[in-house]
Amino acid sequence: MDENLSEDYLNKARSIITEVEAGNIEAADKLVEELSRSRDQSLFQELGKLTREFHEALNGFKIDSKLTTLTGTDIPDARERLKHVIDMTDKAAHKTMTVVEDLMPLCETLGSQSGDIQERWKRFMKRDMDTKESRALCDEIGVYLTEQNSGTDRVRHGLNDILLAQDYQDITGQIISRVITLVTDLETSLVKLIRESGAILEESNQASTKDGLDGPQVPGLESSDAVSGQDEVDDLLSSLGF
Amino acid sequence: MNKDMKILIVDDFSTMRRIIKNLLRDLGFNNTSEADDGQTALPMLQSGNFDFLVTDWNMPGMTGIDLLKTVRADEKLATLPVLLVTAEQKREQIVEAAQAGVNGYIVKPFTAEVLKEKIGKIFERVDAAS
Repeated sequence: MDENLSEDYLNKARSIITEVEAGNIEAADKLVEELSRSRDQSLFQELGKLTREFHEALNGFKIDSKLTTLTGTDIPDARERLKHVIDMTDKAAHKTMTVVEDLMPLCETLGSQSGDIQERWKRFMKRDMDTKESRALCDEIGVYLTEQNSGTDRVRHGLNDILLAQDYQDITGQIISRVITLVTDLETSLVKLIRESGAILEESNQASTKDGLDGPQVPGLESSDAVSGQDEVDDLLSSLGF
Repeated sequence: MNKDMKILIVDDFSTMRRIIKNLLRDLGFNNTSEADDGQTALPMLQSGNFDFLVTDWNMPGMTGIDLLKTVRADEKLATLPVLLVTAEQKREQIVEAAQAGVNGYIVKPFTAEVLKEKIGKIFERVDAAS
């Protein structure tokens, strides 16, 4: 109740007493009626204030229709985008491995051929070889050089393919950046919603996933009870008798 | 260590299976098979006479730790050497794997040298025990 109102009450009450003491019952009645009317009026005012606040709160929720867009459109959209990231990295990894698996035997063949020739070449240089064998060696070197030539071409081609397979990084980087922006927007909207609905934000350190597994450690976000690398795993296991 | 031994590689990501397969081939192990989670791996292990199991931990269906526990509880498979290759590196998880009877534990990302060293160690012990 504000000050004006209580002063008004006090004045009216005093007047009522004065009128009653003077014997003017009719005038006193009138004053009592006025007094009760001003009480009703203040009730109506309070009710009006509450209604206005309620209306504003509802409007606040409407402003948060951003949340509806985020959850209705943007999140499913982000899910598709992230799936695309998995697809792209998967494809790039397989493409790279195909080239490596393809070129590995070639390198092994060329390596063993050159090793074989090198042994005989050393003997040839030490003149520890008859003419027949030297001729055969020359022929073999000729064949080897041709194979080496086309082999180098294949390796260069393969390395180029591996290089090109790395183009996923640019696109996945852009997609992930957009999803990070989305997550930030979502966080802002949620924090606002929580504040408006009057809930108290509590600091929580619980970060476990639903299956209880932490997954890969991320630099800067390491779990305090996780080891940092193979050496610590080995230490821990050996302390357990491994 | 028998280079012809039959190895089962279990990981839900085909790229990781392929990397491990290639690394094993580089170490001279050519007799490898693949499964994408514990549920697929188990019947293969039960009917396939495998000599060595290399498995990831975090997989849908049946996880690597559950596969390890099932293997240890299976009379026929109980002594199968098991190597966990996983991104999980919480102490309690490593301890859990050790208690479940794992033979080796490698954290991702890992190198060819680490894989070679751990496999060497595992079979040193297996060979010494037999």
